[in-house]
Amino acid sequence: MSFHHLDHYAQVESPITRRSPTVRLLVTVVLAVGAALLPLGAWPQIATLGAIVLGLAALARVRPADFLRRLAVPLAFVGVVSVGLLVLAPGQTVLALGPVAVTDAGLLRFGSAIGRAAVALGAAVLLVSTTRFTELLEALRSLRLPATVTAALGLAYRFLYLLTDEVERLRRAARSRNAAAGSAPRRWLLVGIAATALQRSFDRSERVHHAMLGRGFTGRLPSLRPAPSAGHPRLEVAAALLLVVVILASARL
Amino acid sequence: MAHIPDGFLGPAVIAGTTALSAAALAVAARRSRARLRDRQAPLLGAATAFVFAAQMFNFPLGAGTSAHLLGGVLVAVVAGPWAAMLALFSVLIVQALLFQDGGIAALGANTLNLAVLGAGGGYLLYRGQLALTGAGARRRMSAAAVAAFLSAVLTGVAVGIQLGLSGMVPLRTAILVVGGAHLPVGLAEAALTATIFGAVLRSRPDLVHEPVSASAGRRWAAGITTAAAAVALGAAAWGSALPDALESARARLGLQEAVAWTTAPMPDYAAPVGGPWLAALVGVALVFGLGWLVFRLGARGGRVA
Amino acid sequence: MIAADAAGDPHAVRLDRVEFAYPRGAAVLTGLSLRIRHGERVAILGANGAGKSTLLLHLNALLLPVRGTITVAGLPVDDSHAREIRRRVGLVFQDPDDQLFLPTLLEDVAFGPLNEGLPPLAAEAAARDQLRSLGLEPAADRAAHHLSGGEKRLASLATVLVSRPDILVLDEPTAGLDARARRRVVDLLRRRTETLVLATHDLDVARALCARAIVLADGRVTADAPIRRVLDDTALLEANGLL
Repeated sequence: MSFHHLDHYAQVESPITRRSPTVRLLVTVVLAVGAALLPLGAWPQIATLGAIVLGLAALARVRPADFLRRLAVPLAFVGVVSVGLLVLAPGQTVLALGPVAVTDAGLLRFGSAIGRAAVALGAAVLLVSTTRFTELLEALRSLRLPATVTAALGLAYRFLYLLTDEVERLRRAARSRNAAAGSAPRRWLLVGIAATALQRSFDRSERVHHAMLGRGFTGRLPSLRPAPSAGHPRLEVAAALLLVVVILASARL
Repeated sequence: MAHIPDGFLGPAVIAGTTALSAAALAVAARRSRARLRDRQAPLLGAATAFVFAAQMFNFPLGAGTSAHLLGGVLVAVVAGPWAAMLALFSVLIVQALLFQDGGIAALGANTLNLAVLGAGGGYLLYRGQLALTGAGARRRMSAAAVAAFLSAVLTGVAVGIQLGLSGMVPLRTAILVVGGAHLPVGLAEAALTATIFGAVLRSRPDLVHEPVSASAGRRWAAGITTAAAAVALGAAAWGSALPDALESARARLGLQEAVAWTTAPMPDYAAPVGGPWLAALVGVALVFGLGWLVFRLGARGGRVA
Repeated sequence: MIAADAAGDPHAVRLDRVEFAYPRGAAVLTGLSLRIRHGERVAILGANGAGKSTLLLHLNALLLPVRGTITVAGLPVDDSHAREIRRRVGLVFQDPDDQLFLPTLLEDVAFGPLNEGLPPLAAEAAARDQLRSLGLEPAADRAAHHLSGGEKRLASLATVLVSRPDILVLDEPTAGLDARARRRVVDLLRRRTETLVLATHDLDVARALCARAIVLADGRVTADAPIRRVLDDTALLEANGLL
């Protein structure tokens, strides 16, 4: 379990990181949604969007090895999950494999899913390679996501570190007591640790609540950077939007 | 596969699920603010962190398999349904944007499946059972277990419906395969939820969301029965209407393709008006609309804030 | 530093026969009375379970007495005065992680000023000043889990000092610190001029910082005297679980 990349990726200076986190987030969303909305078999459009994402990644000075590594795992997962599409879609048999058959419709869906997913994932990898967690929070706040959600995430960040520390400590304590030899007892131990961790989280949340009240908290988490920078940054987002709309339109004509 | 990646859902499904989940979240935001007031922020933060950690944490099941907790029902029975929905949504956003677990365009669908149906729906199932059986600690644990199982399967069925409606796989197949795959997930979820919830009930009952009161209980029972009846009716109507609706849609669009679909429309062509899509979406909306309506009517009086 | 508040009351803290029990628990405070004047530095001593932490939570109106009255900074401790009391009292908790809950130190320290209504730029400036005075400015944009134990403790102090409270209430400020970190905290507190209420197990720290000691046992005061007299009375210390 590692959350350290929430802090560590992402801070090579580049034209991309010079844009506000809000712009980075919006462009990512536009590209990902654009890719997701492409119809089946829109190969030229998938390639174009993919090229755009790669171009932005190059602009962001993300190392190709890093980019591919971060893309590989989720893409492999998509690949595994898409295998079912090959044989479950009714159509002309292309390849008979015993009781099941790969169909042309299946191939189309398999390829399209992977293609679209790859581009959307690429946009997401671009975001995580250029944006810290705290910047992401800033972006979500500026986009007027419910205060509850951004407050929860802000606090969750610290809670998560504290929680993983707690769990580590509990596991170490259990190990040092040679608890749970064998897999069945180990399962129960993990459940016990999870239960304790949950209770400690909620306990801590009560103490944190006291600490917040003590410093004047009235229900809304205040922010050091409340006002989103207006004006020019919208240009990048508008450009991305236009581009994506044109690509989508070309696919449906 | 509870988190749907990008690339699998069609435009209409993306739009529809996003709209539904946005509406549900808006309600959750307002209701949770009223209920928890200022204690909400840290409690929600803790719940979010826990769900996040839990979803990364694999519990070995034996025979080389492992399951991870989805967490929706557990958080809902401890912290309340609105807090749980918001906590899960927060987790889903971060997972989609920073962990590439679940798609960005698919966020609406994943929120609907895991936060709204999983946590919110699971909570309805939990309270419905308590209304019928009463609220001792053992009953709560078993109610939570059953709710967790059903909500996991419900999530799987929802994913299947969304994949089917997107034209990736025939609808019936999708529901069977994905829904079916969530049966073992549901079992693991039930066991984990009940055990952890039980531990919390034993040692810190004061942390757990409000107990059930008698009059609210009766309204809950009414709500669940109505919702169940609506599901049954809707399913019957949908099942019988489906072949006819599909036939008329195919005839209307002149679809005489080589690919013979037994169910599900083709999303790469213009969407047929009406037809099975609408029936399914209406069915789901109806169930929850009715359940929520009765819950709301029952919400006044007899509830501890 | 104030010698008396607007009402002419020389007492910063006044408790009269305060009783308190948690909703589903046994009584924790069983008739506690004490008075602390402005500018005094008082150590609250007692074994675990004596009621120290519970008492401290009352001083910030985070808990309200079930019976008896408490006046802090001239204000009665009740719901309607809670906000104002919290402005005048700075409470530092036993666990710094409870105090440092935002993604960066800067946000944590700016939290108090922002809640008081300072505009973001002013709040940030005040936070940076405070961090600078404690030597923590380089860590301003880092999260608390990147700090050492001693730095975290200083940071948790910063979150409260930035709001310039009249009364500082500290729960075990040196717990878990190594000798060097402890020295830093003690030096820092020695230089402060606020009224100081310090709950601690560390008798050396109590002696270094406070002129007076109040000993709690079973939820009430069992000794209240100049600190040297209390700490030299081994029989008293033993009887109250402090040795």
